[in-house]
Amino acid sequence: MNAPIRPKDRDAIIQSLRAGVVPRRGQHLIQVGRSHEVEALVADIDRVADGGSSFRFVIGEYGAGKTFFLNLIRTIALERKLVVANADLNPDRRLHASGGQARSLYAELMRNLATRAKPDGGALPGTVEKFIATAKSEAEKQGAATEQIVRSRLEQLTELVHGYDFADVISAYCRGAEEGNEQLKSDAIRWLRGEFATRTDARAALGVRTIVDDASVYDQLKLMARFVRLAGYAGLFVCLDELVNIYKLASSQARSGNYEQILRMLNDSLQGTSVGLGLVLGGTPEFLMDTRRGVYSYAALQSRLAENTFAAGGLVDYSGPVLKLSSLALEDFYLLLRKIRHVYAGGDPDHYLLPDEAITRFMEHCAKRLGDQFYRTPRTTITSFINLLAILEQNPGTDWTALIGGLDVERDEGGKGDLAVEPEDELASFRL
Amino acid sequence: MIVAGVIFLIALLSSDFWSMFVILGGVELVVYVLLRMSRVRQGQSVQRALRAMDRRDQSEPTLAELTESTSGVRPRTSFGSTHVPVPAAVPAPLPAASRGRTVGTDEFYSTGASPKSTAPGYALPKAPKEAAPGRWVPPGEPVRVADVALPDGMVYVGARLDAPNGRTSPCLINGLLPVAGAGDYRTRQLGYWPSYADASPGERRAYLTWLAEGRTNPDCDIGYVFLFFYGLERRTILDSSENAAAKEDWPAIVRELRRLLAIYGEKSGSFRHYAGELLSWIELDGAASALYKKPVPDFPRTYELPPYLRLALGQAANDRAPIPASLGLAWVRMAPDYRLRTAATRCTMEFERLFTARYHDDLGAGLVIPKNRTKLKFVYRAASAGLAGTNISIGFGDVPDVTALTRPIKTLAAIADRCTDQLAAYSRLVGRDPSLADSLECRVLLPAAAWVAEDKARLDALSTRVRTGSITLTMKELETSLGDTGQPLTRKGIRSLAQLLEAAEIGMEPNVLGGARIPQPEDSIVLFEQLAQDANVGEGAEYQTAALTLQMGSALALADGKFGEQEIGFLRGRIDEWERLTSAERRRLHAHLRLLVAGPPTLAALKKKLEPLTTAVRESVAACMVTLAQSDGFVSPDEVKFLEKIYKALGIEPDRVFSDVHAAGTGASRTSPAKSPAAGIQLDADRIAALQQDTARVSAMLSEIFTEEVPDQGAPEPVEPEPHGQPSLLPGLDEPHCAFARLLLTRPQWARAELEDAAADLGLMLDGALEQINEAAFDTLDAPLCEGDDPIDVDTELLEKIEA
Repeated sequence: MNAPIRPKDRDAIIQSLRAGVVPRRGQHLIQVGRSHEVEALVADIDRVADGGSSFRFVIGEYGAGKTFFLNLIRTIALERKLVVANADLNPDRRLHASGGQARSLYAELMRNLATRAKPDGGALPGTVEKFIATAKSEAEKQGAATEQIVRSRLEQLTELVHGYDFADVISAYCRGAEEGNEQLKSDAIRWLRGEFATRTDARAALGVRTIVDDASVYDQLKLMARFVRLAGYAGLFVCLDELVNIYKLASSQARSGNYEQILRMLNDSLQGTSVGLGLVLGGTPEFLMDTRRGVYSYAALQSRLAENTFAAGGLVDYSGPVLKLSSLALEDFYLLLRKIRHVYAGGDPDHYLLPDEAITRFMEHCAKRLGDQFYRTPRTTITSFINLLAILEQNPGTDWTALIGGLDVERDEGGKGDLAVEPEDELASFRL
Repeated sequence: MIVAGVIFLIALLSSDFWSMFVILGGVELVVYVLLRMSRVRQGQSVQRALRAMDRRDQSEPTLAELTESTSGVRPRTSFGSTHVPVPAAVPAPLPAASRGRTVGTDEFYSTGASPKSTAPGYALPKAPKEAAPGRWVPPGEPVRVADVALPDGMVYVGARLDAPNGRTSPCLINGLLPVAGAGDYRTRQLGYWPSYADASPGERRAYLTWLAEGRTNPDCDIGYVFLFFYGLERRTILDSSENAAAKEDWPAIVRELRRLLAIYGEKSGSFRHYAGELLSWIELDGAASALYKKPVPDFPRTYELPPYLRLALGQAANDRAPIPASLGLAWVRMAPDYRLRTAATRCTMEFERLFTARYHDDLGAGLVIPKNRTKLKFVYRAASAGLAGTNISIGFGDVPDVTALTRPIKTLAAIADRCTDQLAAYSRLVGRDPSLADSLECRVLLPAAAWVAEDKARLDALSTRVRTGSITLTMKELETSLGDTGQPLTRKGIRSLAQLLEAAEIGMEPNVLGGARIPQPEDSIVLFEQLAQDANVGEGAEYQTAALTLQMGSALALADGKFGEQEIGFLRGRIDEWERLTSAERRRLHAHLRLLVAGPPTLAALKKKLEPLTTAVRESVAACMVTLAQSDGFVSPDEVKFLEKIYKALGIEPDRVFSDVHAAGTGASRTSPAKSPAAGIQLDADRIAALQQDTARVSAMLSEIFTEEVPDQGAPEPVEPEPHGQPSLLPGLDEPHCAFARLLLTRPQWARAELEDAAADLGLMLDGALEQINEAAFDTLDAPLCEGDDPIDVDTELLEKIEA
């Protein structure tokens, strides 16, 4: 705990938190508790790195730290040399759709494809090129054509759905690189990102008959998982957040289409047929449990998610497909604030801007302003805590007791949006 | 001529001589006289009638024969006995009108036939010498008087029988006295002090008819009954004092008295009293000590406590012995100043059993009455005018007369009142329909103490079973086990049954007394041990809430198809955890749960009960439900659905189900008790410590992953003293990449286009090359060499590390 913290990490954390978003890096510095949960997912990551597969629902209330947890997992996965793709679902990005929304999700995932070297996304070209580069050096050794090596390496992909076209596209990129044909390269990347909207365009540009469409999103992910392994990465880890958006869909048909996709993922994962692919899905309890709209409304899925019947009476099973995150308790929040203070001080206790007592006082202040459940939705309170620290830092010698009293804390109402459900189409009304 | 004169006199007296003659045809004496005297008209027919009578006389002895053959058991006057109907036999002297005369004899036994009892008022010259002395016809011996056959005896017949008052004993049936042809015993004719001798012929006829008919007609005027009673009284009091053999008739007399009491006791309080007194006299004769230990004979209730009881009670007081329940009961029944109400008299047996039980409940072995100073003395006041004035009494030494006390009878009366109250419902029902008396429907209205022994045994057996643990059975089985196989109990009956069981320390679920639905015969019920002082459990709001929670819980538990052991266990645990419940309430709740397991209610049925709950209670019920759903380790969709329904029924936002289930699933304890803001923040030090430990664990794990601490403070310490060979700027890179990396490090920033060209020159693809270089940098230095897309920033500081 007393190890110094790199200024870069410190700034990343502080700035993200101050903006009310989850930091992209350094999450481990402010992680409080949840060792079992982290352990479980690290095990998942290791399994994926070993060529296995994993599937998890991370279920937690608004403010319980789902996104933080997913980001932490993402960072760990990157560290373990996995390629990570993450995306938030929204009404225009779904797992299954007919109007391009699923393809849109895929495109988002590919845009956000990250490697350790490129943790902020956009790592797709690099990944492809890394694959080709290794093929190239191999080709040089063997004295064969690069494309031929590429082809042979991609041989095992062709057994999968769309595998041929995928191999074709990689070859096209390779060709483009060798020939200096930038257009071809970018067309290939566009194809891989799922940005071709019609088959005709794809055929004209790359000579392939298929495109990544709504129906083939998951198949493409499986191809990509194999591909990144071929490119020398440990595997592909996909983090999908805000699954509550499926729950919010008005049409039950649309919902079950999405749940069907989740079921496929779950089945493949449990059977081990998706090589090197890890999936983490973050959602709220209602998304999981609502028997009309949630996962439980889809019987096949529900039965597979049956919890371990032995995990009753205080025993917890962290190996099941559903990982439950509890909401923050008062003590969690207290330790979190201490961690933030620690990070703010750059890991040096001598630079703490506030004593422990001030943290308690701050919490009391929040409780007064927001009610006794303030720690369950910590976003706004953390922001104002950091604001407090910032003022103290810039105005040394200020009395913190006076500051706390005047601090403004906003109520975090974001959780309500999670429950807002799209009205059924036919009943929709609008007002000017 | 004297005879003729007498006859003439009779003829004068009787307005219709012939009709009288026909009626009294059996009185041969008269006939004979008539025949001899006057040879009247129609003598033939009279002779014929007489002959016919003679024939009949062969089977039934005539009065004269009887008189002659009787062995004198009492002092007899030395009348000459005559054989056969003698013409010389004179009619008995007419009743003397010696009204002014009284006998002041103090000693009642100094009886004796007084020959002086002739009628001086008549001008007849001489009293008949031979008037047949009155004699007692023992029970069962037929006798004939006038033309009436008296089948059963128990009367005095004869011509003369003196009473202690000096007059003719009123009970004596003097066959010589004329008897009218007709008489109706239904009409009141006799005077207040009836006497056979004083009666009119019509009344005599009526009396004889009543006797001949077996003394049974309930419409008979009480005067005739008294007339008969005088005979019994005389036999009992007078004869027995002189002749011990007369006591042999006592059992028959007692029987007869009781029989008469049964018929006429209700009709006449006076008769009841006298008969009772006489019974007491008989019972008291030779009364042993400690009468109270013997069974109490039956006495009619009069305005006085029967002397027998007084003696028994007095003896008990004397001995300081507790009064047995039977004696106490008799006292209550006989006490003149306490009157049992209908319930107690209608249901005698039940009252007796109940009284006995309550008596012992209240008084242990029995009531001990203090010995008071009034001494008991039994003064027999005779009914018969013949015995009037004589002092007939028995003293009992220093046995006190308990009737002087009021406290004991008040105590007993209080018990009796209580018992009567408890019998009231039963009595009313039996009164409406006596055929129900033995049915369970009726019996449940009785306190168990008033049950017949075998039924009581059944109840006790049930009670014993329940002591060993609660039992579940159907209503029908319960009824059968209590000995009823007939109609199922009505709603009211079941309620009474529950009350009855409660009194027997058996609680019943459903709590029908608390307003629960009355179970059908096929419905299950649960019986459990419930102490008497715990009755009425189940009224409190706390209990109601708890019960409701259980009901909802069981409905919920069944939502996934089966009521699992864990769920039952959870609910059991809840019962024990609930605060503010008494142990009795817990016991009932456990039984309630058993019942619910057998047949959980539907949510719809519960909805109404939820309405009066406060919000806080609703919340706690909801919380309990969620925990319950979680208790078997998995909240199935059915359970979630059901929870939503429960929430809706409770008026709580159904959407909260998920959050609450989730919270329960992640450990309900995590919601630490947050006090109101004013109270300040209370941090749980233990939890913080545990959390810190957990955090330390996760930090250790993460730092392993992120290999945070490489060198200290970025000090250029040669972590990897690499073979500083030219080609491998970074380990793991091939030559073109190394060259490209070196090129990168020459400038802090590159435009993408420039690098693309450079990469192409080296035969590399830019993105792939950067990726590989950065990866290698991460592996070695834990930091990327370059960042950004366009322009691309290079961390030239790393060069120092590389070079180092």
